[in-house]
Amino acid sequence: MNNKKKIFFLYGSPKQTSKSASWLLGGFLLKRLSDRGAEIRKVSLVSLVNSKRGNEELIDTVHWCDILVFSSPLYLDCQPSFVIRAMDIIKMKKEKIGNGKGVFAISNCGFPEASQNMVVLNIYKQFTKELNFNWLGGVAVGMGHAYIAGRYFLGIFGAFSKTKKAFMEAADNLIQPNLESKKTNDFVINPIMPSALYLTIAIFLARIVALTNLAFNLHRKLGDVYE
Amino acid sequence: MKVLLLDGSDKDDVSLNCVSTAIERILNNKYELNVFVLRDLVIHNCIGCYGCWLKTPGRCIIDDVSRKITDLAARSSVWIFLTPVVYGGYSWHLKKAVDRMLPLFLPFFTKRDEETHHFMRCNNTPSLIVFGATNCNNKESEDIFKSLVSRNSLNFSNSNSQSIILSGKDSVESIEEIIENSLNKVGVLDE
Repeated sequence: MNNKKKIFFLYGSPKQTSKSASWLLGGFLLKRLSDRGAEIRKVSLVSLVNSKRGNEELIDTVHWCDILVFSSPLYLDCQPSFVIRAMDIIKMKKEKIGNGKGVFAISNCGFPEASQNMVVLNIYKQFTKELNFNWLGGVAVGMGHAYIAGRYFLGIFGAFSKTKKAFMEAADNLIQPNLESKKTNDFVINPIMPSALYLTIAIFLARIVALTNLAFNLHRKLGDVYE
Repeated sequence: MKVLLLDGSDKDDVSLNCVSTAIERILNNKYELNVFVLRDLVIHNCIGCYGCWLKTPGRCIIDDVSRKITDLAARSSVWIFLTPVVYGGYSWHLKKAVDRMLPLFLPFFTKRDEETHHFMRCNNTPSLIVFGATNCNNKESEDIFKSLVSRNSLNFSNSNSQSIILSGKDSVESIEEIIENSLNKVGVLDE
């Protein structure tokens, strides 16, 4: 009998994976799970929810897995719309899927305060409850842009080491047997640099990008846009 | 006065359809009411490109009806959202439209309630009223919904906000009374 944990990673950002903090952070978790022998399947939800075939793949993989791992960015205080759509599709096929799947969620935002993600984690929790699944924990991460913009530079200096360690501990927890009896743990990743420094760098980089796009009036009023 | 109504309900959502009809009846002929029934519109997902900040400031690079919604949102005094309560949050129809309102923000940061948020692109601070419909009496779900509306209101710099939960048991008369009360609170019917 195969006792490997089956993990379904639901990637909830519309961005290319190379530009996504959701992908990078999920990768910290998946790497450890993979090292511990878990079998992993990944999908990008944005491409899956709008086709019948995509919906079927989604349901089949949820049926296959032991644990769903959502990883999404914060869009206006909540997960992106297509993630909610995916959750609806899963709920509609609840009869086919059955009870008892585990759910783990990662939410990251571009603001320094990771706590801004808590509503998202609560929505994932409520989804878990309504489907009679088991909540296995959630992670809230702030300063999401730093993980992408600074992944080489900051990575070299070990700025991500605490984040990686937290995800490794979460993975070790997920890989344990007896999902139902496991103690669940939501946690918040501490800022990896001072907020003021992060915001200054974020604005500086935004201005550079705007200049390369020849966009000079970033304060343009909406009346000027739509007249 | 302009009022923007984003209807994120499903077709068979009786109580929200009732809300929409009642609001139209109460406000029509007195105010400029702009209604968007989101399930009938093709609105693409926000692709998180920040083009509306760093490429074409104030305008989403995707050309669909959300540009018009954003424009009206910037010029409306009241925003009304209708949605079923979905895991404590908004329906995906409504969320799709809300996600695409990013051009309302500037890329620059400010502090509100000791949290970092973005500056608004316009000076407009509309009132926000969100009607959420639910068929089950679930306090946790309602609490999440209220905190989501309150966070949205903080983010959008709304002058005030109300989250109103409607149950399937509410009668048409009581729904109308709830709507009138909520509109009165934001000063719409006083004018």
